[in-house]
Formats: sequence, C-alpha cells, structure tokens
Amino acid sequence: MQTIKRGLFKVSDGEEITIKIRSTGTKTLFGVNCAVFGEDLIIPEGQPLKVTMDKSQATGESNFQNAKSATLTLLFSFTSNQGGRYDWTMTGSEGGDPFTAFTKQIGKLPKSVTYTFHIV
Amino acid sequence: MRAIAITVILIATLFAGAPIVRGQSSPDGERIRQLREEIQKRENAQIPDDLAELNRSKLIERRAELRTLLKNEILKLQKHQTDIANFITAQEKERITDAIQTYTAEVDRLGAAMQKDLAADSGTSNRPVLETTSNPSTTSGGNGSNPPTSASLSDSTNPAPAVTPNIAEGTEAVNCEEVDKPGKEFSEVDRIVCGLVKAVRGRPDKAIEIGEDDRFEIVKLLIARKMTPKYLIEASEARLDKQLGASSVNGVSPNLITHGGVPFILGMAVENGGLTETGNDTAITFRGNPIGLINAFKTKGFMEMVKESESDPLQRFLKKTSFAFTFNTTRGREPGVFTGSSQQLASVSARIELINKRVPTLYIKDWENFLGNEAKRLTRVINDNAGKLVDPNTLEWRDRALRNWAAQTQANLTAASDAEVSGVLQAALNNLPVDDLEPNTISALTDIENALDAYQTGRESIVDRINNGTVLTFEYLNKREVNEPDTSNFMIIAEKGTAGGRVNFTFNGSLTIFNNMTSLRNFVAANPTLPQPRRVRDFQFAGGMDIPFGSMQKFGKFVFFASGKYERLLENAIDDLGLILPNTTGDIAHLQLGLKIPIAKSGFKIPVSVTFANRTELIKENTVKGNFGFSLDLDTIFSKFNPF
Repeated sequence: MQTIKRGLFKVSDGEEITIKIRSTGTKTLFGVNCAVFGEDLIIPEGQPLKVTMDKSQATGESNFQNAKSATLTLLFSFTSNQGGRYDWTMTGSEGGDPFTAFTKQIGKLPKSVTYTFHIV
Repeated sequence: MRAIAITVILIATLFAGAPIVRGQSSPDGERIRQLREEIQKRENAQIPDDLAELNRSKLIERRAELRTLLKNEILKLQKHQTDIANFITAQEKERITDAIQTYTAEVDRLGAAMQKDLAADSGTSNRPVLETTSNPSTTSGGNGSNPPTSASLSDSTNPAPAVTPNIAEGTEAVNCEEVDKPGKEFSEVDRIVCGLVKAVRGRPDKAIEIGEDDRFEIVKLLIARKMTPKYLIEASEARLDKQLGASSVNGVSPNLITHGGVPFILGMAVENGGLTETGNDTAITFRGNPIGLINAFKTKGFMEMVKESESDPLQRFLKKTSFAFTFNTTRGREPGVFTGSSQQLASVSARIELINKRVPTLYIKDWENFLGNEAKRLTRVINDNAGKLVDPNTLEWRDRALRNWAAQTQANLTAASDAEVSGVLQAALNNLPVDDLEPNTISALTDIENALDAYQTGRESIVDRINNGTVLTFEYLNKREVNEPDTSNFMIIAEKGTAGGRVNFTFNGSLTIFNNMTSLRNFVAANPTLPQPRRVRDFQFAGGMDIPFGSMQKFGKFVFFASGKYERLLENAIDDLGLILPNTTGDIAHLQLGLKIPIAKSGFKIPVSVTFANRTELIKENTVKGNFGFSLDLDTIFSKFNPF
C-alpha cells in the first residue's frame, strides 16, 4: 500500500488491507461501520478489519494505467456527549508505510472518513 | 581530533537538516521544484479566455502550496541555526542567511501575486449555470507510478463564481475556545465549524484535508446550510438533574425538591427564603465531588479527569459520592455577612448513587441494532456518493463552485496568520456556495441528509433512553441548629426523564430524627402538659418536574419547574430559641412554581419561585412566599480555563 497523499492510496490487485481501530477518548460504546465494494460491515471492538482489494469489484475511475479506484468509508458513532475519539492504523499486506489517523467527536453526529484506493 | 569529528558531524547535520540548501532533493524540495515550474508555465502560458479564471484559481492554489513549503523551509533553516548555535561557521551562517532571504522574498512575491489574483476573482461577475456536467471520464494515461494528474478541464466553460472571504473581513461568529466544553450550549453547526477550525489550525500547512474527516464535516455543513435540518441547527439540551443548592430538608433552602445529580467538581448556590420555617434566611451551599476537587487542585484538565474516573475503580466509586456544606448567613457575629465560620455552618451532607440506569453499557443490544440499521445505511450512502462528490484522482470536489470555494479558502488560509485562521475559515464556511451547487451534488447531499436524519433519530432514541434512565441516590444530612437539637435526615432521591429529554421527574422521600433527646426531655419535664418527645421528628414526600424551554443559542435554556411536597410533622415544632411550641404537629403541604433564568452561557442561573403552603412548621396559617437566588456551576468555569 503506497500513500499518494492523505486519503489516497495505490494498492495491488489482491492486496489485503488491515485496519485496526481503537476507541481512545471518553468512554463511549464502540460503534464503527465500514462500507466497501458494496458491502456494509459492523466492526467489532478489538477486531481488525481486513479487506482484500479486488480490482474486478472496483468501479471508480483511475488515472493510473489499467487501474480502477474504489472507496472505503468508515463511520464512527458515539454514545458520549463529548470527548469521544477513535484512532486507527491501516497497513497493506504488500508493504509500504502504515497509515495512521484519528477522529475526535464533535457534537452528537457521527464522524466519517472516506479513503480512495487505486487498485493496479 | 575531537574538533575535526565535531566539524564533520556539524556539516553532516547541516546538510541533512537543510535539504533545500543542498539542491532540494528531499520530497519537499522536489515538490517545490515542481510547483515553481508549474507556476512559471501557468504564468507565461497563452490562456484562452474560457480557461483564464480556472487557470487563475489553480495558480492561487499552487502559489499557496509553494508558499507553505517555503515557509517550512525557512523554519527548518532557522531551527537548524538555533540547534547548532555556537558551532556554526561563518560560511554556514552566510549560506543560511542567503537562503532565508531568498525564500522570504519568494514568499512575499507569491503572497502579492495571490492577493492580486484574489482581487481579480472578486471582480468577476459570472453566474453559475446549474446544469449537469459530465464527470471527467476514466483516464488511463498515467505512467503507473506518478501521482495522477489534475482533474479534467472540460467543465470550465462556465466558471463558478468566486467565493472570496476576505481575510480582513474574516470575523469569528463563534468563539471556538468555548465550544465543546461542559455546560456550553452550541448548535451542531457551530461545533462542526469549530472542529474544522481546530483541525486546520493544528496542521502546519493549514490545509483542509478532503482525504481526512474534513470532507464529511463540510458535507454536514453543506446539508445544514442547504436543507437546514433541525438536528444540525438547534442547540443541544442542558442537564436538568444537577443539584447545586441546599437540600430541600435543610430548612434554609427555598427548594421543595432535591435533585440527585452532582457537579463533577464544585457547584455553589445562594438561596434566599427558607420554606419550612418562617425566617428569611439566606443559604450558601457548596456542593462538590471529592475526586473532582482533588484532581482540580492537582491542576488536571477537565477531560483528563473524566477519562481517569472512568478507568480507575476507586475513582469510579468516589465519582458516585458527593458532599455539601450549607451556611446560614444570618447566624454568627455578623448576621447577613457570609464568614464561613462554624457558627454559620447549618448543615453537612453526603450522598451516594445507589442505582444508575444512565450507564451506556446497559444498552449494548440497542446500540448494536442501531449500528446494524441506521448507521450501516448511512455508511453505505456516504460511500456510494463519494465518487459523485470528489474526484478519486485528485481528491478535489467535482462540483465547480465547491472546487473554487475550496481553492480560494485554502489560499486565504495559507496567507492568514495563525490568529486569523479561525476568522478566515469561519467566514469561508459561512459562505459555502450552497446556491450554486450542481444537481449531482445536490442529489448526493439529499441522499446523505436522508440517511443522516434517520441515523440521528435512531441515535437520539438510544441516547435518550440512556440519559432518561432511573437514578436512585441516598443522602444523609446532618442539620446543625443553634438552640434546637441537631437532626439527621435520611433521604432517597429518584429521578427519571421522559423520552426526548423534555421533562425530568424527581421524587424525594425522607425521614428526620433528633440526634440528641436530652434537651427535649428536659424541656418536657419542665412543662408536663407537653407529650413525651419521640426520636422521629417527621417524614416527607416530594415530587417535581423540570421542563426546559427557550433558545439555547441566545440566552441559554430556561427551565420551568413545578413541585409539591407533603410533610408529616410527628413532633411539635421547636422555635429558634429552643422552645417546644404546643399543638404544632400535623400535615404541611407545599406547592411551588418557578423559573430558572440562565445568564447567557456563563454557568450562572437565577432561580425565581413562588411557594404556596397551608401552614409553616411554626404557624398554622396559609402562606405565600417568593424565593430567589443564584447558582453557579463551577464545572463550567473550570472547563473554560483548564479544559484538557
């Protein structure tokens, strides 16, 4: 997994992406959803999310030669009124620097991040 | 030998730490080279009229990026110069000074050029054409290793209007230092705006990151401005269950009902007009949480305290306890003046939470159902619409108006000083081009808004159940009298909220006993017509409700409260001289109506109430009494000055 810029990655077809998410702020019920390749997942606390980057399932455009892009959305929910936070690390099975990020609760609404993968 | 080694290390350090000086071979150096080349080409190219504005917009963006990188290089050089301090050679110093001067001149030139272009953009009068434009088609022209090129220019024939929040006009609508602190009441929109301000301010390049969670925050703001859903616009609810003043059995308290909640650190209330007695005493109550106070004295931040108390079993237990001291200012050597002396100490109380159904972990099943339905649907909708909103190659907005807005906002942010960032970004976010959005964008926002609405309803339903769960508290209060015997009161406080948090119901049941019977027995011995005194003095039941209303954003939330209390006086009342008043046993009923008036977001509240009673403890006549006071929740003040 190669980070092109924040939120934009180049991966190989068949590469497995692992995302480890932790709730690190004020105590809140763990609530993380993920959508990718038309699938919707609930991520249980303490279990890493593993996604295989399958070019045949990707439908997005890409400027990389013979590549397709796909988006992966994470949604972070909070039961707390404030102070919630999630930290996560994303790694690819074929190497590259791990990508780390976090999100902090702001108000009652969920936070969300959408990553774009160019699958070559 | 040692001197030679130091020199070698210093030279190595200098060259490692200042890549620009040695030829810009670092990633930043390479990017600077690319930007300079692109800017030069864009400045000198013969641009067709149709593309002039877009080219100008790109130039602003690139200049802003280059400016940021150059500023970083200047900082690196300055840091390096400071780090090696006395070891720097004249040659190194000269080279660093030259580099800084060169970069500074370039930064100034870029800034001037950006201002010129921004001014030119502000002068354009093109209106957007709301038409469906084809998205840039899939391109496979990349070489497979370089980052993708910028978005297609095919949609530039109808350039979007310039949205140029001027730095000078960048005003702070919201004080972002105040948002997200306990006791503060702001709308979701305010919180989102301030969240973005804090995120952008914390980044070295002051960038709005569409590849991070900034994207969804801007989407929420677009929805808020375009569709104005209630859940984004309205301020959040206030807590109704905190007891700051004296307990209702205190005698000097004007309250009929005692609430179960306690401040996390310390609360203070001044109340006038005791209810159960005929006096007009003034009570000052300090109510606090032991663990909160200890941590506050250790100068711990509010959030740090909240987190620690959740993970430590001892702190978790202590968090369930609280204490209170109430002073009667009419006592002591200087009546009417609060001295805090033991003579003025009217009561001491301690309480512990027995049942708390407001703990989120009791609702895991409901939460999982919610994640599997509303949250799942929202995630899918966001993901499905990602490609409609953002170009996957460049991570730029597809919508022309939004893209222009983003470019110009970024340019303004880059040119802004740290102190100006909040004002500039708030001005920009207030000027999101919601009226100029393309149909594709509106369609995506509508989809997301529908899913977000359902999500919010689902979440609120669970959070309401958590927040309105039953809380049962036990309180012991030792009432210290001047001439009468001291008493002990044992009280159960139950609270339950209703769905939506609209009303909070409270119930009190209590029993009072005399601590010492000796003086009473002596008095009865001297007055044989009086019945023999018993240990139990009275029992009481009270019920009340709090209903918040009004605008939180402007003034804070008003709270209307109504309560009733029944007291069975089993023993004759004793006046303040210690005399037992015959034939004063019996039933006492009270009805109280009142209003808590907030003083705009300060933590202060003024409760005003009127109370009707069939009699008092001492006089068997109807009474009507007015009460007022003020309360201060020190949690609010503490969190303001020491939030983290």
